[in-house]
Order: sequence, then C-alpha cells, then structure tokens
Amino acid sequence: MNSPTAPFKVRLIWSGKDFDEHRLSLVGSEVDGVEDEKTWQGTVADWLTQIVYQERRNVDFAVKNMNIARFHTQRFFYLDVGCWLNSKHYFGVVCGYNAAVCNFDAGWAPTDGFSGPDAWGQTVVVPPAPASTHGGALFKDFMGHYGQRDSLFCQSLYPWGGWRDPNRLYVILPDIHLPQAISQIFQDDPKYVQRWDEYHNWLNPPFLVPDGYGIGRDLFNSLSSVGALTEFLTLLANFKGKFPKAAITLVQIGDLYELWRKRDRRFEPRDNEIVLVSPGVDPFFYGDRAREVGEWISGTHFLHQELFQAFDECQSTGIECIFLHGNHDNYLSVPAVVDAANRWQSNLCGACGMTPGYTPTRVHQGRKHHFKDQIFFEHGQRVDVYNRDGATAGHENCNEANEFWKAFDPVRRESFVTGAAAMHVRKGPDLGLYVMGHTHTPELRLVEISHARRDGDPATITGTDGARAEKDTPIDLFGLTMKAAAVTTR
Amino acid sequence: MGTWHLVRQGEWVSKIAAHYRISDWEAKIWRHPNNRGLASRRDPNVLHPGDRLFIPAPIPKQVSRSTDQTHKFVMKTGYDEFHVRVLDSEGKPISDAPYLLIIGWQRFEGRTDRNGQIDHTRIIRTEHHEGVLSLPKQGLECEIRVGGLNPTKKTDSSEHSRYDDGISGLLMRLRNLGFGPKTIDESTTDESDVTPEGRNAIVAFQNIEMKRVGEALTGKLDDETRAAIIDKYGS
Repeated sequence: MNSPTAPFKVRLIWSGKDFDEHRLSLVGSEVDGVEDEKTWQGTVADWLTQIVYQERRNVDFAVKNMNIARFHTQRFFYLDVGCWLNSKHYFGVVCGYNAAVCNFDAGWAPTDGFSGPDAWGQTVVVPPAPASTHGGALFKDFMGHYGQRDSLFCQSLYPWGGWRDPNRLYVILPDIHLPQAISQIFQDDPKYVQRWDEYHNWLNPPFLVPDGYGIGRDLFNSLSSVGALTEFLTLLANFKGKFPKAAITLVQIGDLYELWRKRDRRFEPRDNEIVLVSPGVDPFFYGDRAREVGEWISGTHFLHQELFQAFDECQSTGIECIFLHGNHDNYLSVPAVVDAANRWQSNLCGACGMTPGYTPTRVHQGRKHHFKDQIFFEHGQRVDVYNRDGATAGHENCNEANEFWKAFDPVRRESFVTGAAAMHVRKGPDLGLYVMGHTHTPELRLVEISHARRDGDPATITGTDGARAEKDTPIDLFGLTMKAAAVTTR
Repeated sequence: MGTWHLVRQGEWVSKIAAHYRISDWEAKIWRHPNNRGLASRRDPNVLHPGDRLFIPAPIPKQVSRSTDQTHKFVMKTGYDEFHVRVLDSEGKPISDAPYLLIIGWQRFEGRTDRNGQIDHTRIIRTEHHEGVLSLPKQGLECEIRVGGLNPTKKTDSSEHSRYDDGISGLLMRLRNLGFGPKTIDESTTDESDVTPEGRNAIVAFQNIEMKRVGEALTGKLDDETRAAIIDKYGS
C-alpha cells in the first residue's frame, strides 16, 4: 500500500469545443491503463454542466486589514474498504471527518464499561483526533480488538453543498462473496453438511440436477470468515443497544453473495442494467428466472443462518442498514429476484414444515449507490469494463479462474480512482468521500483533480468585443481560463 | 454645517471621504466629535450598512492664479491597501502561485509569497470595488468585493439605523474561511435572521475548529463562537 500521505493525482481530459460551452464529454485520463470513455458506455461520460470549481460566491474583504480567502481545490478522499475474506477482515469506519480502514480480529469480548486492551498494533500515527470522533472513539473502545490499518482526517470543506453529520457513525462492510454451496473443505463440518442435506433434500428431488452445486464455489475463501463477521455484527448490534441514541449506518458495499461462480449466467449482455435471460428454466419448479436466482440467494441465507440473523438484529436495534449490489450479486438489482428470495425464505419454514427450526432472514434490495453526508458509496464495477452491470466477460473469467490465476488479477487502481474522480466532478463539491469495494485491496487516499482539453482539439476564446473565435492551439484548461479572463470585458 | 451619511454596503470611511472630496478623512471625518461614538466601536475600514457617519461641510480652498494661462491642479485621491492570504481546502497557504487580481478597472498580477499572501498598497480609491481574484494554476477563482466586509461588534441604535448584532460580519468571515454560507443578507442584524445554510456553516465551524460535538453544536453565535471566528479570521 502506498504512503497514506501521497495523494492520487488524476488529470481528466475532455474533448472538443463543447468544453467551452460547459457541455463535457470525458474521453479519458492521463493515468495509464484507464479505458477510454466509450468503453465506460456513457455511464461516466454524461453531459456535465460544470467542470471547474468556479466559485461564484462573493467574498467580502476589508481594505488595509489582513483578509483570508480559503479556496476549495478540486479534491476528495477515496476509500476502498478491501474485503472480508480468508484471514482479512477489513472494514471501513467514517465518523464526521475521520475515515479509517480497519481490520477486525475475532475472539475478544469487551469488559464492562467498554474499555479494552490497547491491542491495535497496526495503528498509523494520525493527526490528533478531533472531537468529531467522539462516536468513533466510543465505537472503537467497544469493538475493541481491531487495528486501524490506515486513517485520514478527511476534511473536505464545502459546507454550502451540504455538511457531514459529525455524530453519525458509518460502518462499511466490504466484499464477502458468500456462496450458497459448501466448499469441499467443509464437507466434514457437521453443521454445514446437515444443513446442506436438509435444504437440498427438501428443495431438490433427485431427478432435478441443479447446476454445479457444491464444487469449487468458494473461490474467494469466504466461508472461513463467516464466523468472524457474525461476531462483528453481533458486537455492532450490542453497541447500538448500549448506546441507543448513537446514529449508526451500516453499509454493505456489494458482493455480499457469490452468484457467479460455477453458475450459468442468468443475465443478458446489456448496457448498465441487469436483465434476466428468458424464458424460465423450469416451469414446474422455478417458474421463471427470478425464482431460480431467488432460490440461490435463499439457499445462502439458509446455510449461513447466524450471519443473516446478525444482520437482521443490527437492523432491529435501529441501525440504518444499506445494502448495495456488486457484480457478483448484481441480481439483487432486480426486484423480482429479491421478492422471490424472500418468498423462498418464508416457504422454508412455512406450512411445508420441512425446516421447522429455521427463522427466515431478510433479503435486501441491492442499490446501485448511496449518497449522503458528502459520502458516495458504490461497489465499483461501474467503471470496470469487464464487470460493470450487463458485461459478461467478468462472469466468464470468474468461472474459468482458479486460485493461481486469482492471485495475478491486477487491482487496476488507476481505473477506479479516475472513475471516482469523474463521479466527483459530476456530483460536485458535495462529494467529499468516495467509498468502494470490488478490488479486495484496501486503500485510503486523497485524490486531487486537474483538467485539460484533449490535445489538438480547438479552443474557443472570447474577445474583448464578445466575439468568439476558435484557436487550434492545444492549451491547458486553466491557461484558457486565464486568457479568456484577460480579454473579456468586465 | 455638514451632513449625515448613511453607510451602504461596500463603503468604508476613506472611500466615503473621497466621494465628498475630502482627502484628509482621518482628521476631518473620523476624529470629528460627531463621530466619536462610532469611532470608538468601529474600524474605519470595516463599517456596517446603516452606520451613520457625519461628514463635515468641505471648506473650499482658494488659490490665486493668473488668467489666460493653463494651470495644473492635482487632486489627491488617495490609495488604499489590500492584503489577503489565500489558503487551500486544508487551510494551508497556497504559496508561490500566480494570481490575477481585478478590482474595478484596476488589474494586478503577481505571485503569492510563501505564506500565500498577496499585498498591494496602491489601490486607487474609486467607486468600483468589485472584482475577481484568480489563481489560474490551481484553477481557482472567486468574485470579490473589497470593502464589503461587515464588522462583528454589536452596536446600538445611536450609531446605527437599527440594532446590529454583528451577525453578517461573522457570517462573512465564516464564508471567507470556507465554511459558507454561500449567500448572506448583508443587512442581517439579528441572530434570528440567520438562514439554515448559515446555521450549517456555524455548526461546521464549531465542529471542526472548536472541536465541539453532540449537543454543543448549537449553530448559534454564542460569545465563545464569536470570539473563535474573529480569532481564526484575524480581524
């Protein structure tokens, strides 16, 4: 991981004379490895109406006395919350203007009074924590045994665009990739084996052969981390119980479920939306695709009952729970799938009585993004040409991958930071912190943005008489602004 | 005799004096007995709209010159000084940066010093005080009003057309410090006139600069908050 003090620098390149009309089409970035705008399929390169932070505010000064003018350079903070897989239990914490990437160690219980041992060996030296971390400090005391892998004071002042509630605590869970079927390594685990037998003996009469259940589905080593996540969520619910007035938002950043691996693709190739393939696979049993995919999700809930009960418990204590969808669980964007999954849940303990000990747990609609308190959350596949909604290459790669290939999957950080920068430009100064998952690699950094017109495109300059003329000289955006300001009559 | 001048937004004493063709504003206006009360409460460069300033009648000056000849008379218009320190989002000086400063028809270019400071001591005193401050390398620009900053002290109606709580001056300083609000009614004189946007700006300042949390984030300009804003701004 790079030094936390060195910002990412992104230079967004815009095309054409439309730039001068404040109608912008992003063509790319100077950062190596970023795909051109057209491969983003227009998701990022929408027409924008404002690019530069032209602070059209009146700033009042006094003569003779010293004045201060604080500008807002175009910058934001970027947070990738990593993954909850294998031995890595990363999560994000944001409270006020403080953000951190953390790593949870299971197996520690807080004493009465919520003071715990100082076991955060990985803590990075950070500026003195302002009082806005009050909620964060309490949370850290209570949750106890986790290390702050990295943290930053993410003050991105632009209050008139909105302001961040300094007392709201955001806890952000990363990719988890819960598969439905058990992996071979758990074949000897009586708990999973029994549940698996219960579930599939009820669900699948012998003559129906579901596709690839049980074989190599836990590519990302998710199952070994389920216990720690259950413990984390239980602690979180207890924290809320002890501090009922605490304002807490739990955001699951997407890829909670693993619905790609060893499964046939059930969505069509599309631009930026998930549409189920049709017709239905089994009119006698599944009825339609939504019901089929819903059964996959429901099976995951059945297998990991304690975990999803812990999610439900968090919600019942008053924690605001936001669920996004990623690429591996992009089906959650389809309401019919979510409805079907919840119906499966009800049916499992319903009149059939096949699994009388089971309490259904809630399947949540996956949002594409969540934007509040100057924080923009999305999974991150939006700017990933292989994995964005509707793309099929990612699904194919996932099913061909193995442990060896997975280790060489590049992070492609530049792509995602550039996509985040473009989103920041679109949303404006109100986006102070961008949060994603998807890469499985945590990161927390400042991003600084500059802009340029694509080299060779004509520039339009306004003369003193108001006439506009095109110049062929490729010039920097701010060079143009300066020249225009110099010749425009005020 | 003289006249009472009702101060408007963007006026300060030397500028008002120039309007009345009085060059020695300090001796003739600011130290005038009728302005003693105002002078005890105000900085002559930071007046509030509604302040009442007594302008003594100018004493015409007579000089003898020969007819049928051309004579040159130089009227002293006076200069004003302008000083500003430019900071980035994190409050650090934007140092060694090229700038363009336009005030009315006057144009100045240069580079900020290592403290992010811009200093000009010969700004011609004119009616035009609006302009632009640009930092082109950083892509930053804002529209400015020199002389528009309001005071922060409370006054009573003896020097002011109505009671003034110093609210607008405090909000202007918050805006300059980057907290907002974006729009301020310069005639705001009472805390009850503060908009929700203004409250947000105050809360943000209380949280970030004064380290307050929870219920202490009142969004109100209590004495401690006032003092902190003035201290942070420097005047």
